[in-house]
Amino acid sequence: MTVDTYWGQTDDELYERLGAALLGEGLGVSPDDRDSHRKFGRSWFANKTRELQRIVCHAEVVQGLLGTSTSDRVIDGGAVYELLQGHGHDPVSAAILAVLIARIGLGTFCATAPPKP
Amino acid sequence: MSDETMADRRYRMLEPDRSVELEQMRAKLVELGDTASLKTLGKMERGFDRFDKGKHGDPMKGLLMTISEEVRSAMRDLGADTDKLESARVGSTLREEVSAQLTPFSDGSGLAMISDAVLSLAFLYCQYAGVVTRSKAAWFRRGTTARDESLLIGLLRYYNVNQRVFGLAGKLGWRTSRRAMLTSYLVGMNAARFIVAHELSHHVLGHSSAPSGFSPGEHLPVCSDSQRLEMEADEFAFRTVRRAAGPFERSALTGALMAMLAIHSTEQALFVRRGVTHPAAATRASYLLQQVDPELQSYADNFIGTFLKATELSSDFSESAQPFEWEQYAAARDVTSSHPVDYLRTISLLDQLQCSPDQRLVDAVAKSALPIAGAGASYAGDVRRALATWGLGSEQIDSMLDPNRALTFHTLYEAIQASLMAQGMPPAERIGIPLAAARLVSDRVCTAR
Repeated sequence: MTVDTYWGQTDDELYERLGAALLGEGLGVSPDDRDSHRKFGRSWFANKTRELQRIVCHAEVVQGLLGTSTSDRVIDGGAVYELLQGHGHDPVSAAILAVLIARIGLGTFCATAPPKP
Repeated sequence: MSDETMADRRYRMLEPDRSVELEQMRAKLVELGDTASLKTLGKMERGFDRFDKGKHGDPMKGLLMTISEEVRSAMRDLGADTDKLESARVGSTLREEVSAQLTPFSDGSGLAMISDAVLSLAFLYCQYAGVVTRSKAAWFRRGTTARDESLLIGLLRYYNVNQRVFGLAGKLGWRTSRRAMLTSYLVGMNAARFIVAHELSHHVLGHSSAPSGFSPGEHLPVCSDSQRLEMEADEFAFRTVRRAAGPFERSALTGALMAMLAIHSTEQALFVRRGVTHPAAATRASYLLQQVDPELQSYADNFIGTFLKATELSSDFSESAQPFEWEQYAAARDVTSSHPVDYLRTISLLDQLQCSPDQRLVDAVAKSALPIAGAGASYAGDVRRALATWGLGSEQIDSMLDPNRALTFHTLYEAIQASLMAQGMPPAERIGIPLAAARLVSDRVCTAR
C-alpha cells in the first residue's frame, strides 16, 4: 500500500476510506452506512489536526521541505507517509492522511501548528 | 510500550481530543449567542475538574472507564475469562451516529468503541424513565400521562429530524425534579453499562467478526447466526448489569431496555434500509424479559408498551404522522434548549415537509428554479430515473439501490442535495427541495433496483 494508490481519489472518497480504516470491521449494536465512515473520517481529521501537526510540522524532513521555494505534492506526501508510519499509523491510514495533508499543502497545514514543545 | 496490544494501539489513534471538541462547542455557543449554556458549560467543566483532579481528563473518558471497570468486575464474578477481559479495551468515539462496535484483532485483543451519540440518546430515554417513575406510587396507580408521552415523542422527533436532515445529534433538554434526575441518572448508568457489557460480551464469548461480503461499515452479513450472537451478547450483558446494579434490579432492567430502545429508534427513524439484521428491539426486549422473574416482568409491562409506542410514533414520517410542534416546546417550562426559538420552528417545518402527502412533495420539487423532473418519475415508481434526473452518477445510484447496503435517510438527502447544488440550485432552495426529493425516493428505495 503506497501513497500513489490514493492520489486519484476525491477527498470524500479518502475520508470514507479513512473512516473505514480507523473504525475497522466488527460486531456492532447498530447498523452503519458508508456516509457514516466519511463523516467519521472528516470529524476525526478535524479533531486530530493539532496532533497531526505536532507529528508532521516539527519534523526535520518537513522543516526542510517548508524551507524550499517550490513544493512538490508527491514528495510532500511521501515524507508525511513515512512520518506517520513511524508514529504508529497503519500503512492505509498513513497513506490516506499523507494525500489529504499534501493536498492541503504543507505550508498551509503547518501555518497553524502549535509551537514545538 | 511492548505490552501494548493491537486494540490499545488502535485506540491510541482513535481517542478523541476532547479539548478540541470543547473549543468547538464553546465556539458554537458563542455563535448562537447562548450565554446561559456557555456559563453552564464552564460551571460543569470546573465541577468536573474539582471532582476528577486530573485523573481522567474528560467526563466521557471518566464515565466509560468507571463503567467498564464495573462491568469487568461483574463479568469476572460471573466467571468470564480474566485474560480475555483484560485484553479488551473500551473507549469512546466522536460520532454523531448511534453506534457501538467491537473490533477483534489478530493478537486476541478487542476494542469496544462507544459513540457519544448512543449514550446521549440512551440518556434521553432514561430521562423520560426518571420522569415517569418520579413518584413511584402515583405512577403505578395512573401509569404514564398523555403529556409525558407526547413530550417524549416530541423530544425524540426533534432528535430524529436533526439527524435525518443535518446528520447531527440535536437534542432538547428536560428540566425535572431532583428525585427524577437521580432516577434518570441511575437508569442511565445501567443503560451505559448494558451498552458496554454488550460489546464486551461479544469479546469474552469469543464472537469474532464473520467474513463479510458487505461494504465497509456493514458489521455482519445477513444471516441468522448474527442474530444469535446478538441475543447471546444481550443475555450475558444483562446478567452483568444485574450483577453490577446489586439490589437495584428494576433500574438494571429499565436501563437495558432503554439502551435497546435507543438502538431501535435509530434503526426505525434514521435508516431507509438496513443492510444488517440485528433482531428488532421488541424481539430483543421480550427475549430479555424471559430471563427475569414474573415480578420484574410485570414491572416492565407497566411502561415498555408506552416506550415502544412513543418510539414508533416518533419514527413515523408518513402522511399520518404528528410532526414536531415547536410552539408547545418553546412554551414548556420543563423543556430546555441551547437552540434559539427560530431553530425549533425550522425543525418543525422540516418535520411537516417530510410528513407531507406525496403529491405535495412532487409539487414542492417542481417549484425549484432548476428544471428537474425527477419528482414525477419517483412518484411513478422509477427511482433510478428520478435520481439520474437529479444528477446522481450511475455508480452512486447503484450504491443507493443496492439492497445489501445500509442507507440512512441523511445520506440519501445529502447526496441529492450535493448533486442539485452542483447543478446550480439556488442556496435558498438548498434544504427544502432536496428534502422533499429524498422523502419521495426514500419510500421507494427498498423495492427499487
